[in-house]
Amino acid sequence: MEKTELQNLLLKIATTYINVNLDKVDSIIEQSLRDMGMFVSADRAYVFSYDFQNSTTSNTFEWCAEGISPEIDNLQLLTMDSIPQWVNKHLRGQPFYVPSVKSLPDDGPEGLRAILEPQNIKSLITIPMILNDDLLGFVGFDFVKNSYELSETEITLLTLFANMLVNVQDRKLKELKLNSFLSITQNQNEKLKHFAHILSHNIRSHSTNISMILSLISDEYPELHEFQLIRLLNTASEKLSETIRHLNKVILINTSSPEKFSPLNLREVTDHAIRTLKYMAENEGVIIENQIPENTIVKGVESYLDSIFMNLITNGIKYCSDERDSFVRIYLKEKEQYLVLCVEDNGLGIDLAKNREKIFGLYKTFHEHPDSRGIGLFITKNQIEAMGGKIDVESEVGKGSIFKIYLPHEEYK
Amino acid sequence: MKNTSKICIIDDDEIFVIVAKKIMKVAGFSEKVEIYKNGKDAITYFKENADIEENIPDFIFLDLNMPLMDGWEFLQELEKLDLSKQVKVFIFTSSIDPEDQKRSEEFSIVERFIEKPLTMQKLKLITEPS
Repeated sequence: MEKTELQNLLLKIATTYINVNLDKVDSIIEQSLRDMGMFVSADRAYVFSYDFQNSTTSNTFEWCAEGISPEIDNLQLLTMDSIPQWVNKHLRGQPFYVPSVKSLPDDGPEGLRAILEPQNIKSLITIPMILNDDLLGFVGFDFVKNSYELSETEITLLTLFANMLVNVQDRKLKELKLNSFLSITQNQNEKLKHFAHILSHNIRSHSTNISMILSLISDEYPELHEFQLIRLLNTASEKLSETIRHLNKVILINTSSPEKFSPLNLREVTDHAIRTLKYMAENEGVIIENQIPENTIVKGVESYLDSIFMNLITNGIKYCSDERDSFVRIYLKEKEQYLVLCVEDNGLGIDLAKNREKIFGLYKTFHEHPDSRGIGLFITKNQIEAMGGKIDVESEVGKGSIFKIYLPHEEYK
Repeated sequence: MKNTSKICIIDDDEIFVIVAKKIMKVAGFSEKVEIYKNGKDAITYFKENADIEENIPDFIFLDLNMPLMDGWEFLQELEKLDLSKQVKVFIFTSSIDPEDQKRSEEFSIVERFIEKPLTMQKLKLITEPS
């Protein structure tokens, strides 16, 4: 047999294996067993898998030449003890090769010859399938009509075929695993959405009932407001409503669909936020510099981007330092596939060694300030992530902070 | 709103219904209030009384999430009926999902989409043109 022809066949099989779809793997394996079997003029080609836990082996794929009866149904869950010669060779990583059954020694009813002769097998080779030192099974070829002597090269190439089979099956297993992880994740996502619905609707309806009852009480019995407990109840009810409102906002951000994304002019969005905050900045003596180049386009949700900049710039103004001339600087960087929008200030700064985990959390505040509610950065982070981006922060107490918003790079001309 | 206008509340939340009735009373609104606990009971009533003008309310306060038949299904069924009197539907819901608000705009019979809680101020919305 021509070595190159067999190599070409293997190359063809390798290529189909690389591109094969998960649901076609089985039929592709059968197809290649047929091709290889016919090529080496075998009468049967097959794959077996080993189950070392239960000491069994099963025929998983089979191809038979014309006139040869399939054996696959008879060859399920065989005990390994019935083919010790196979297993021992394979465990050592070697092929089990019998060039001529006829010339085997007659070693009794349990012997090799006694197994193979009744099946009319004249020659046979089985090659172990090994993945990272794990023996998974073997691929084999039976020669029934004529005995056949395989060359070194043919054995080497058949071994290569065995490795290819290992790889394609391994890939299939990994993909199945990945798919199952994916479906678990989707399932959990559904559960979360369901939970979010309970939160946004059911809990909210109870909370609104409480606030309605309380407002009726204070209308009908205004004198009750004298009692501290009633006042506390009112406060608790207001806080409950507020918390639910915040959580609802976050739920809406996380369940909104990407269809609302549109190309946005970053310079215009930031200019708009700065104009809105002009008065607040002047009041605190903070200078805002916008270094975003004209006509920088990002893809996103306009209301989110607007709210993100409002939040970050407001923070920069709110937490400015009295000890120096304060600024908030907005500029752009590029990193890999991201546009990085930076909002830098020279304000109070945050101790990240202590607070890195908490900084984007809900109801986390880091400075004494009457307007600090711990909601801004939490919403900001959710909005950025909903647009496929991420946020990071560098900060030093007494020096200032840089908030970096990574948005997927999208160019629109 | 005239004190004589008839109101129909369709809501499975007993507390909301009691408190809403009370708020309407305090605000001097109509006390002629019919209550249905879900869309199914309500639509059965409307089907039976479609051509009896005096049995049709002026206003419907409609909840969205209800058992048996929700507010959306009720609206679809109601639009099919040939009512002998024009009725205005106000959706009162705990939902603050903008999608729900958008969906409510598809029904010409819906006058307003109002988020719970019901307050005196929101009651005033009903008398103002939208």
